[in-house]
Amino acid sequence: MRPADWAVLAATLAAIVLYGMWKGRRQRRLEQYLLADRQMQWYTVALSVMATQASAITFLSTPGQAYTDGMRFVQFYLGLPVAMVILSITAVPIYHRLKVFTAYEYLETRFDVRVRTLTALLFLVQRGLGTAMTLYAPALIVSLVLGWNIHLTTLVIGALVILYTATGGTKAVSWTQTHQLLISLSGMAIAMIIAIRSLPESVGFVDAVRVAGRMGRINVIDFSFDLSTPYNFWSGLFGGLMVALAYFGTDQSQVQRYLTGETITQSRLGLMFNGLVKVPMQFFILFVGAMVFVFYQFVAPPLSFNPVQREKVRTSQYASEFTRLEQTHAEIFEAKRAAALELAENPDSAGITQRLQSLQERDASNRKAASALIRKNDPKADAADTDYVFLTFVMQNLPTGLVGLLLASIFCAAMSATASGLNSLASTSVVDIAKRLLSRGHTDHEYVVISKWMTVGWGVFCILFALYANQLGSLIVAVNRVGSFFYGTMLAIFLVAFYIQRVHGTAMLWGALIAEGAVILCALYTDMAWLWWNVVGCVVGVVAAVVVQAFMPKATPLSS
Amino acid sequence: MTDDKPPILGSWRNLYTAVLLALAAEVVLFYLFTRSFA
Repeated sequence: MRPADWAVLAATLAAIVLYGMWKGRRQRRLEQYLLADRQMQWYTVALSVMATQASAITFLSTPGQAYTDGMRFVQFYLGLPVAMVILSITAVPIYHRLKVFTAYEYLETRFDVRVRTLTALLFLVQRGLGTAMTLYAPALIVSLVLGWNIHLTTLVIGALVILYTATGGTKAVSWTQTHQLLISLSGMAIAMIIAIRSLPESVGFVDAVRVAGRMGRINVIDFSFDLSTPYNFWSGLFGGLMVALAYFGTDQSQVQRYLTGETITQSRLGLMFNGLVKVPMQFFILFVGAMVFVFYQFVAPPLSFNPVQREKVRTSQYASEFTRLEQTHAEIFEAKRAAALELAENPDSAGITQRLQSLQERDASNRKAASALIRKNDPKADAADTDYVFLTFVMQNLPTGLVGLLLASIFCAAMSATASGLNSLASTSVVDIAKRLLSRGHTDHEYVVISKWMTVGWGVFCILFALYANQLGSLIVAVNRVGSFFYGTMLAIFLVAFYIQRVHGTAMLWGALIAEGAVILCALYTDMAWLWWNVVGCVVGVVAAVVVQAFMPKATPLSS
Repeated sequence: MTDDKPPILGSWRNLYTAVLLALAAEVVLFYLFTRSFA
């Protein structure tokens, strides 16, 4: 990185942190600190909701996903707009009417304190680990590609987030997120423009899309039904709907964003905007990845994008084998380059397309052999290099200044998702655990102080977890999917709460435990794609709660 | 805290329908996009 890049990066991050602290100054009441006094307009709600979901991994890994697997990942988001409509009709009016601070507060009104506490604890476990991952994953990728110290990178990002989140609360989080999202999206747009402008003169925009399409990267919609395929129209619509309902309806990191809306209308409009814009936004980010893929059909890519593992294997006993694979890779690249140029000139030639596809298959199997070699050399290595594709492109091809801006945009995304996480963890810890179960009777201002310390405490937890995460090995994969272990159950609890009035607290508790058992069985003993675990948890949770309730003695009706 | 009509399209029902229609249109466009370039 050059001094100009450092200057842009430092100035952007400093501006965001100072802006957050300034926006969130003088927070004295709990409603002010945790819900920004419920004064936010729809556009702040909308951008804050979107920025919470769009972590740095969205901007780092999603383009890489398009590079290796095509654009089909966009189908994961197809259920989201439907979920936004359902939540606008159901959850938003209930949460607003009851003036709750957290989604779990409502569960005590509907069931009892046990269900509220269980759900709050499920949230704290999954969101605590999830927030640590939003800090760890980008720090790992950035530090590997740039050669930075991962501990220092984690500490700096974590400390900056804690600084403005703890001092400024929800107001600081929401306002900074609007700017962070815009910076991140601008960075992606710049990267895409540069990828397209760097193509050979004879390759226009439509030619580039055609090359991507013929090589399997424009596979946006797939209507085939297959339970073991992670991304198709059906898993996206139904599995994605469940995930989105659970995430936006029961996860405090999202609920807290739209609880800040000044009125039901403002909150609903925020969600509707998200429902309209999210799918095209993901399409855009994946399209950037597809264009980076096309760029690397004309500029030689490395055999593996993971620089550390690449160097490790080059200096190992497998060096000569790796060099042979690199030579084959170079030969395939030259042949692919020629074929792609020919395709731009003769777009209707079936022969060229076939040649290109067969070369792509050879390249994929060569890359697979390289991954196997990397893993053979270091069994603990993350042989998949998807996460490193986009950052490698940025570092090697963007001009001075823009590299700094792109890095700033990635850090902004990491900070915004982490800030929402910390903010919601503190809210739930204070409102659902500390204030409800442990230490009643403090003044409002004292709870603000406790909330600030909770934010710091959760921030320190996430930093420590992130610092030691690389020692967890394959556990990290499980942590990445931890949301899908709990979301189905959490959604079942809320669906029953909203729609099945005859089910009471004890039956719901049993239903939740049975649902968790079913999800764990699916994860351990079937090859079901993880997106479906959410559906299983939700369906089993609802059915089990209803069945258990049928066998419970009828409760004495309360006096009206 | 009031639940007014939305600022566009006259009613929430219309707005929800518009969001779902937009989703349907996106699926159709994505499908055509896939068919055209794959």
